[in-house]
Amino acid sequence: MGKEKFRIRLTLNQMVLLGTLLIILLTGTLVSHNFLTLRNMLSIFQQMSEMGIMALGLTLCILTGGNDLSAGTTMGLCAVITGVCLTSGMPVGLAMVCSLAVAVICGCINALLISVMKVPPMIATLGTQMFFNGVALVISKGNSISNIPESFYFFGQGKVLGIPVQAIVLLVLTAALSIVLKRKVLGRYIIAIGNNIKAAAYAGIDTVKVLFAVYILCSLMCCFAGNIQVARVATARADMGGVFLMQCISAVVLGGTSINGGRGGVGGTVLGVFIFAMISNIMNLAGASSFWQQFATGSILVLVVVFNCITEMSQKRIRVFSSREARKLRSKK
Amino acid sequence: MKKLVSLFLAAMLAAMAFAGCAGSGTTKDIPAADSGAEASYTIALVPQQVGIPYFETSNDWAQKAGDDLGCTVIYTGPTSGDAAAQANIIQDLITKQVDCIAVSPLDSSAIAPVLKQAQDEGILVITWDSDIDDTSLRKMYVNCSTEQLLGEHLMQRLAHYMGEEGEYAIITSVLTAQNCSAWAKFATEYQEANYPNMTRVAYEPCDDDQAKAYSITQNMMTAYPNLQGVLGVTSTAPSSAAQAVREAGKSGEIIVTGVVEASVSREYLLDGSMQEANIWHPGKLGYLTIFTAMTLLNGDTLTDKQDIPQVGLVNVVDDQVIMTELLDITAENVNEYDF
Repeated sequence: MGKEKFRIRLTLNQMVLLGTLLIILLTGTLVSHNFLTLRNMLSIFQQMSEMGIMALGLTLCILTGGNDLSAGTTMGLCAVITGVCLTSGMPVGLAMVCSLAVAVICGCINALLISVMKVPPMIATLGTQMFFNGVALVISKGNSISNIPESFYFFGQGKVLGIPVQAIVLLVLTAALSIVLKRKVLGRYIIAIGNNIKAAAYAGIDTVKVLFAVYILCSLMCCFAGNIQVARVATARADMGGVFLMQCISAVVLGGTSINGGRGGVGGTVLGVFIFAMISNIMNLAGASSFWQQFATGSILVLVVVFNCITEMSQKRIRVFSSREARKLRSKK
Repeated sequence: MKKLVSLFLAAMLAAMAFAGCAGSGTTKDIPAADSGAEASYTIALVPQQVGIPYFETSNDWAQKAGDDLGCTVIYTGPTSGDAAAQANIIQDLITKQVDCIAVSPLDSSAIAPVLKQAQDEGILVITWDSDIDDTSLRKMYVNCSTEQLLGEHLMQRLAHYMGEEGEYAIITSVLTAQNCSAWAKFATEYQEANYPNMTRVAYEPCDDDQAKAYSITQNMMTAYPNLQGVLGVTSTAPSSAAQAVREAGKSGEIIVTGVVEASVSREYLLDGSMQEANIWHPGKLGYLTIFTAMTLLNGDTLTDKQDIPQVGLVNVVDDQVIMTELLDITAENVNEYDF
């Protein structure tokens, strides 16, 4: 009985999401002839990929019941590292390796604070957020780093078979993380920790290792996003990714992942990011003020989240009700 | 029931995807109002940030220019100092197939790739208020003033009030904004050459955020107790700095000047916490931008010393159009200005 209800609830949320997507697509078509063209869609994918990749990483953190507020500034730091390495003459491969290494270090710092020292994730990552930002600002002296070599542009401006490279990266990462979450043991452990970390520990799960994996993966995602943005705008700045953080967390929640952890997935997250990117695109095509974009994004988020909460509450009531009934039946026997 | 709904949704989405792929390329979005008459030009005016009074005034006058010259002016920009967001907006404007993109870049190189894209699509690109590094990517640059002239003028006025001696600080917007950085640079160089008894103790970015400018000024007053002057080269800084100075009780002791609109600075000029505002008319800059765009779209050129209605005399040097009116606003004349 319980498992069936569980499945229905997931489907309901995803249906709401797809329904919202449809409504927005329809709105877009009404606003502009150019909205539903291949070229505009590819443009949207190009713009949303950075946010999408960061949101994938955040999904993992939020699934464990934690959060990574340092995601934005990690992206900025990795961007700056890449910028500095590239402009000092390092080959592209080596620069990326440096940037990835820094991301791993950032993830380790977060994981250390959260899993070993048991600092609440919000507080830990709030601190590391400022720390990473400071490091990035010191390295870049607050300036933006230009003269990125053209060989690097491929990641942000290149196309493979007409599809922007970063969209392909996003799809590949989404598929990979989806497999990990649904089919691999690590995925099960992540969900378990999100549901109840103490129970997971008593069940024999090495929570420290899992959390290390999660936060390092999140930082790596931010690193990818940072490098893609550097390649797209041919500049590296310490403030890259700063504005993404709240939007990404919103997209994760919109996509059906519970902020308390234990429920959700990457598919919903990507849909959430896509919805936000489309709203932005439609507003720009309509020539509407950027402020209305915030209003629209916020409204949709609130509506979907409220809807999710209501269905969650009613499902709980159904379960409690049916378990009471079952108990009554048993006691009658 | 749920299965039916899911199938229906999936089918609709697939249908939309096919419709999209079948659609041949992008077409111009013709504004509904002109469906009968000949299609007019659409010019996109992209500021560094929306919501800042300076750019809002530019937009008001740009809309006026649109009415006067018979074109549609779209005003859209990022809500924060994010260069990548500005690139996204420009990319969408390219999809929208506007006729001209007039942008005040937040970062002198970050939007180069999208501007190249715009040029490849045949969209006219001009910059205004601030320029980009690669000047081949834009046809013309609508400048408020020669940078050196403005920088030196700012320093002259600050020094005048400071008695040509003492410690001063400069607050700029974002460190990458080409315009503010240039003015600050020329101001500092002028001071080093002409006012040896003045020293610059700080040069801070406030990211065009009033609250940040306020706290930066407070911190500087604490860090440099002998601070005697604050020069704000971006329009959000001087009024916040003046507020901080006023609340510290140092109105008049610490000189505050800079680039700021009359309306925003009125309160501070009148109560003495700010001494002077040196600015051009941002509205006229907006008007001039649209005028330049229309001139170029019609295939004409601007001439040096041309007198443009509503704007005044302009200089044309190579590919720059430069306004010539610099205004010094003090407590005496602040009420004469409408911006």
